[in-house]
Amino acid sequence: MINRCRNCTGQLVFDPGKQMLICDNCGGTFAPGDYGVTEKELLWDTKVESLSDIYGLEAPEYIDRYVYICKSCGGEVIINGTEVSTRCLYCGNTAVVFSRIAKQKRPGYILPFKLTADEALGAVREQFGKGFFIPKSIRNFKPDEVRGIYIPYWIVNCRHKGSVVVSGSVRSGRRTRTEYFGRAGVMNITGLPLDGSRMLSDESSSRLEPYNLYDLTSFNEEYLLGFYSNISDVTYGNLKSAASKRADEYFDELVLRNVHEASSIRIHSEQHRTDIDYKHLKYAMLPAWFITYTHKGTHNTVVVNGQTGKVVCGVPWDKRLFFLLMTAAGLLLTGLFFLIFRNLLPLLIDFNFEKSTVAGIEILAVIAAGTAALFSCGIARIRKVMSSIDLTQDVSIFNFAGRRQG
Amino acid sequence: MDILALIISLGLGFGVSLLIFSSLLIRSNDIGNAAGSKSQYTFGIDYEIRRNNLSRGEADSFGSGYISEEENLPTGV
Repeated sequence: MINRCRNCTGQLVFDPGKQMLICDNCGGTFAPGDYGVTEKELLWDTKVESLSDIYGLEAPEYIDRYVYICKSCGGEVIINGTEVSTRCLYCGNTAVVFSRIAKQKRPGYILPFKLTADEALGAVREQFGKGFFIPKSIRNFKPDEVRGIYIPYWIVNCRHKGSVVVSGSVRSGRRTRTEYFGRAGVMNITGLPLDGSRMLSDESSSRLEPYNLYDLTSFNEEYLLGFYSNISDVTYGNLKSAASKRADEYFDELVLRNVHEASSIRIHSEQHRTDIDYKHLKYAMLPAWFITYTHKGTHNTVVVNGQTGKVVCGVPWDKRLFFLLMTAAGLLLTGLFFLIFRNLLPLLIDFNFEKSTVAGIEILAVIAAGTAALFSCGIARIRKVMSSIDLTQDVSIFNFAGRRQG
Repeated sequence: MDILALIISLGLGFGVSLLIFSSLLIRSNDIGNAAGSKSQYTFGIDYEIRRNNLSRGEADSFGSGYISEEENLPTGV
């Protein structure tokens, strides 16, 4: 059997540290690819049946649930519509649903896990240890689940055509006027990874990048042993819109960098078209560790790039500590600024408006605008952190990682 | 005058403090927030049209006809 040791029939799992299949019983090691295609062919015909068809269960929670019979113990493995590998609840062995890989969308490539579960946990603990505003209870978190999941990705090449008008302020003497700058051109994008799972948000998966795609190897089911995985369930339309979104952003950023003649620049109008090179699409499985923990009754899912160890998450913050320190620093800075402005203001402005200079009023206006900008930047940064925390606590990412058997 | 100085100082003091601590918060609690960088996937744009100092009218019509709308989805989707 494909997931059994040839020496002792013990369970084989892929060891990211050794990049070999290891038998958990006798310690035997095998190179991925040792098992021939003929052995796999025997498993390709094993059917996956709908849970509602077998048991007549009509409730919504059973709609996307299927039954697969474990090849090791004969137990029923419940999987969702896109799962390719999971763990049997009864014997703990990896169940690879070969029929889904063989007949549906067999990936062309796989990037094997390089990071072990312990290394992924270590990377998360190291990051949490550095976080000044991370509560102690989270720094010493106990994971509820640690799951290595191969995420289906499409690696796309595309040609993007764009036409963008940028508006910006140009100073002429004491006045500023709005100028417009037009840029149109072509941008080629190569090797852009787009996740092929509808359950996982594009925002979460794009943060896992970069993956070093030079390490991609031909797909082999043996790399899945010991890990969970899904097949792609996106359409060409989904792929095109995801590629267009990324390409539009890249194009706009590059155009904004190309306009040097003005300040306060922003996009005035834009037109884009992205053409994906469908002939050279690569379908690959890329590795990620999903670590879930509970904080104050809320599930949090930390994702770690299974190749590079990049940790992605928003962590709930110690609000009391944050506002206490911010208020203390605010009062201290207020005192300092007060000392400066109490002496400086009489030199700038005459409140009888007899000697008041235009420059003095302009300085006041600049200070007011600067203060507004400081608050707006600060609030935007806090909102960014909160949006990352929302993503980490999002039900869809928790379900992607958590709603699996075993 | 002192009241104006106090108002300005409060605004600047708490504004600077908010900026500093929100930056620290991002570094501390928003881990791995950067998506893939464009430099990994593209060498840049080959500009075919580059025009400065456009009038408002020219800006509104800039690029019209440059991008055609045809789709390139493969058949059988």
